[in-house]
Order: sequence, then C-alpha cells, then structure tokens
Amino acid sequence: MMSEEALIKVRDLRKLFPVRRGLFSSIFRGEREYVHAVDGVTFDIEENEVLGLVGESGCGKTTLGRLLIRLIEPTSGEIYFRGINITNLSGGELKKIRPRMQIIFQDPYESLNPRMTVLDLIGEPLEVNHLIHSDEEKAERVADILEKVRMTPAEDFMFRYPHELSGGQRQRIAVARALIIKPDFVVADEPVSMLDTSTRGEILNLMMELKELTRSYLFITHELAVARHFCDRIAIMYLGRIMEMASSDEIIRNPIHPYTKALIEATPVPDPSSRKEKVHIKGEVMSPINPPKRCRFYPRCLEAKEICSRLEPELVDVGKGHLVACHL
Amino acid sequence: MNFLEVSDLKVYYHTQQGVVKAVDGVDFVVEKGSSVGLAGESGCGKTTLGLSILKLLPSNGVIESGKVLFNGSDIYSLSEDEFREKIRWKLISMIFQGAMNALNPVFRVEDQIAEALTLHEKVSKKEAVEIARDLLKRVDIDPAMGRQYPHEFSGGMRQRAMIAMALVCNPQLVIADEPTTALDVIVQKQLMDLLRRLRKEMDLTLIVISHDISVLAELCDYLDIMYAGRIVEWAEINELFENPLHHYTHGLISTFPTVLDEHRKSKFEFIPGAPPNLLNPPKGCRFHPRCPAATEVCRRDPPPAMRRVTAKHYVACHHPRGG
Repeated sequence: MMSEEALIKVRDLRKLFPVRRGLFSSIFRGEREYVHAVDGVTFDIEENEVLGLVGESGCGKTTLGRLLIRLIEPTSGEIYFRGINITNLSGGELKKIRPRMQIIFQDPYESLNPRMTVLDLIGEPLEVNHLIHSDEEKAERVADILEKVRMTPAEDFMFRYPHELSGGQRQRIAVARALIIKPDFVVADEPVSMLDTSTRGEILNLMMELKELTRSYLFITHELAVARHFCDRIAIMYLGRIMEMASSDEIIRNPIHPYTKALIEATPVPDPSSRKEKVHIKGEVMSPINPPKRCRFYPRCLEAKEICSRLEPELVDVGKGHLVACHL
Repeated sequence: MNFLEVSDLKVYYHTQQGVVKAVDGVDFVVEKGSSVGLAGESGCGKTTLGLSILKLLPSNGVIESGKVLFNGSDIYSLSEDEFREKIRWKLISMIFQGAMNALNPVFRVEDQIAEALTLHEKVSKKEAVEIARDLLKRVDIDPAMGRQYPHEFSGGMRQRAMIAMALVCNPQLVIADEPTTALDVIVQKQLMDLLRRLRKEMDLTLIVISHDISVLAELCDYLDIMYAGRIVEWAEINELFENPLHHYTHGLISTFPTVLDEHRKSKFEFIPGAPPNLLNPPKGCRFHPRCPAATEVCRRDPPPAMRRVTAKHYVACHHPRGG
C-alpha cells in the first residue's frame, strides 16, 4: 500500500481553522479555539487509482481535497506528488505543478463564470498554461473535447453561456475544463450531487471513459452507493480523521468500523422489500472545535469500551490493505 | 369513498416568458391511513401539486381547473376564509422543504410551533407553548430546547421541529415535501424512522414528495410517478419496483445505484437528455424524446391517459414494458 511510486502521498496532514471570536472573549478567555477540519490523515493514492472519500457534511472531506492540490495551506504534515514534497512549494515551483492537478467542483451553477462562453470557459486552462498559440488552435482543442463529453455538434455549444445549458451539460463543461490539459490527478468534489439521479450516470460514465485524459481521481462524495461503484478504494472520514479504508468491494462486504456499518445501514436502497431496521448509532455529530483526545466516534458508538474514551486509535492494516482505526 | 381525491387538476404559472404548465391534468387518490409517494425529477410539478392541495401557491400560480375532494367534500368550493379556518393545518398540513429557510430565525422554536396552534385554535399562548413542548418531545427533541432559536439547532433537529409544527393541530393528512433532502444519510434514516413511528401513533395519512425513490421505497405503500406535469404510473410499492411498466419509471429505478450490490458495476445507468421545459412541453407523450420505445404514435397522439392494468397498477404509456 505504502509504495514509493505512489502518485500522491499524504503524511499526518492537518488543517486547523481558527474560530473567530469577539474582542471580549479574545481578551478574557484563555486558549484559542480551532476547528480541526483535517486532523492527522495519512494515505496514498496510486497511479491510475480512483480513491473515494466518503463522509457526512462537515467531516473535512472537501478541506482534504483542497489541501491535496494546494488550494489551501496545511497547518502541518506533508503532501508528496510523484515523490516531490509539495507541502511548502510556492511561486514558480507551485505554478509548475498546478496544471498537473485539477479540480471539478460540486456546483456547476456557481463554478462557471456566467459571463464567459463555453469556448472561453474550456479554453481558459489552455491559455493560462500557455499550451496553445492561436485562437484557431483553441477552438480546435475545445471542439475536440466537446465531442468527447458528448456535446455535439460542438459548434452549437461553443458560443453559449452557462445559463443556456442544463445542469448536466454544465457539469460536462466543468469536466471538460478540468480534463482538457490532461492532468495527472483530479479532485472531483461531489461532481454529481447537484444533478437528478437519472442524469448522474451519464457524467460518471463519461469520467470513467475519458481515461486517456486522466486516470487518477480523489472522488469526494457523501453517497456511499455512488462511491461503491465509481471507486477502486474507499476511505471513510469522520470528524477530520479516516476511520476505515479498503477496496470498495471489501469495505461494503466486510465493514469493520461501527461508523462504516452505520453508514451502510443508513444508505437507502431503491427496493421496498429490503426496508431496514434502526441504524446502530446514537446522538449527533459533535463539534469539530478542539476535539478531546479519544476516539472521535466514541460519543456515538454503541460498542464503545473504556479505552475508546481515553486513547485515539491509529489507522492500522488488519490484512490485505484493509485499514481500520478502531480499538475493537 | 377515497380520503383524498384530486381530479383533472391543472395548475399553471403565469410568468413573463409564458405559461408554465406545472401540473397539467392530474388525477390523484389517497386512501385513509396510507402513505403515498410522489416521485419525479426536479421541475416535474410535484411540489406544485402538493402546494395546490393546500392552496398555498405563489401569487402567479393559478389553479385553472380541477376538483379536490377531502373525505367526500369539495374543499376547493370553500371560500379562502373557510379554507383557512377549517382545512389548512387543521385537517391537512405540510412539512416544507428546507427547514433552514422555513423557520423564522428571530423567534424561539417553541413559540413558532405554538403560533401555528394559536392561529387555528382557541387556546392561550401558555397552553400552546405547553403543547409545543409535548410535540418536541414526541419528535425526540428535549422539550427544554424549545427555548432556543433555529440556528442553535442542527439540520436534523430543525427538520424535526418542522414536523412538530405540521402536527400541532392534529391533522389527518400530512404532505411532506422532500422531508429528508439535504440531510446526511444517518440523520435521514432517523427521520424516516420517526415519520413511520408518528404515522402509526397518530393515525396519519401521508403524502411524501421526493426525487429520491429510495426514500419513498422505505416510507410509502403506493407510489405515483410524475413526469413533466402529469402522472405516468401509479402502483402498490412492491409491484412498482418489481414490475415497472412505464419506461420512465424503469429508468428512475435502474439509475439508482445500490450500495448492497455484491459486485462493483463498471457502468452507471442513466436516462438520456433532460426533463422538458414546461413552458413548451413536447407534443404527444412528454417522455417520447427520452424514451427507448418511442414510436410515431407517441410523437403524434395526445399524451396517453392512465389505464388500468390491475386494481393496484395503472400506467399512461402506448408501449408499456413487457407488453
């Protein structure tokens, strides 16, 4: 699992956001408070691998995705891209790495500039990275990728604005924009969660088919059922930490962590004959502000033991690359 | 006699771009004590249908024609005052979509629930707050938390408060519009358990509106499938999932990925195209541009009417699946 050739290596990565306070409390209350959005995460993404990052809202999955491609600065820890430590790169060095890593955002209604045409939206990454030399070349490359994302005939779409497109078409533009420069690695942050279920499949198939443009993804989602089919491996995240990680077949068939089990139980199935009983979990997600040193899942776990209340479990391999952070 | 019977309902929005036919000739029946799901993609008119049963449409929404019978009496023939006094919230109430926006941020949660009661029943403010606290307990919220404001509640708790508000006048029929959308799966699951429990305890009849058929599969006894302003299939829930007859229904079910699949699928199913713009819906069957089985008759003839297949299964299609 921890091979030297990994595409992305993350070591004990942390991102803490300071909690904004008023003047009074900053003078009279002692310690500063921090939201521990990502709190000690270690994993690898192999070449040609699709890693799913699954968790509920507020678990830190989007923050982690943005850290990996250096859109935000980590508080501590290390990120390696093909063996190069990119944690502290800046200026020209960082600019060289940027085109090799791209991101697809969740909301195609907000991520596309409403004043730009499809041609300019998709052509922009080419221009910014000096990959084209003329307007003709730009139009050619854009037409080419529009065909690939099945927006044909390309001439019909090139001069349209985002408001003239459906949600599914917009998200195809976002995919084309991320993939046109053939990045080595793409963070896809909930790329289909804004779309109707009936049209999601089209975008997901497209991303799987466009392997000639990119092969490695971090696929962020709150939907286990989508990750189960889209991803090679799945990491389950809870309050800033990875709880369990294994191949997608393995984690669905043999979940070990009580949180993973609860997530699987709670995921609705489109089949009235498989109505499930109560889900095995209690309470609600606690605050990520200065979490105490114990298992993050302890207050909600029905199987918790004494040790869980005083020691934070490490993520350990229990065999065949199945990693779990649980004392049980 | 049906508990709720909607017949030939047409609801149009008059906009600057033209007339949006959000609900265009819908018949809809609910038996007492049952839970009926209303499924469809965004913009198919399902929320409009729910709102029009309660006459809560925005000002540009007009009920062009149709009749709604509740317990046999024609509630559309009542005056607005009568409707408010006798029907809305007292007999039929609604759980609105997006609890974040539906609660007033500057009032305490218990006061908002109590207000719904004082507007409809002759009770003192104090009594109403007592009842509100009881209801909070019933939806698994510590009654002491009723003193808090909506922003102090989590998303799941706000949705529970919305449910409490819908139940405050002891209604017989509750319309839940996307009751679990935008919530995390575990919270969603807990809310579905709650709705199921309340339905039993309070002898409620439910209409659940959702784009998510897996949620409806868990909550409902019957399912209506809506497409572009019309209902295209209705059936008992198990029958519908085992034997969907409309190609759209089949598409909706097969595009839903299942976490329980033994093996990873290499491809996702999808319905090509996008739902039509209801300013100018396609002629003929509205689904024909996206349908794998469409023929000349589907393009040419007026939209097919619902016809009976069995007592518990109706479909509106010229070429239903498997027949």
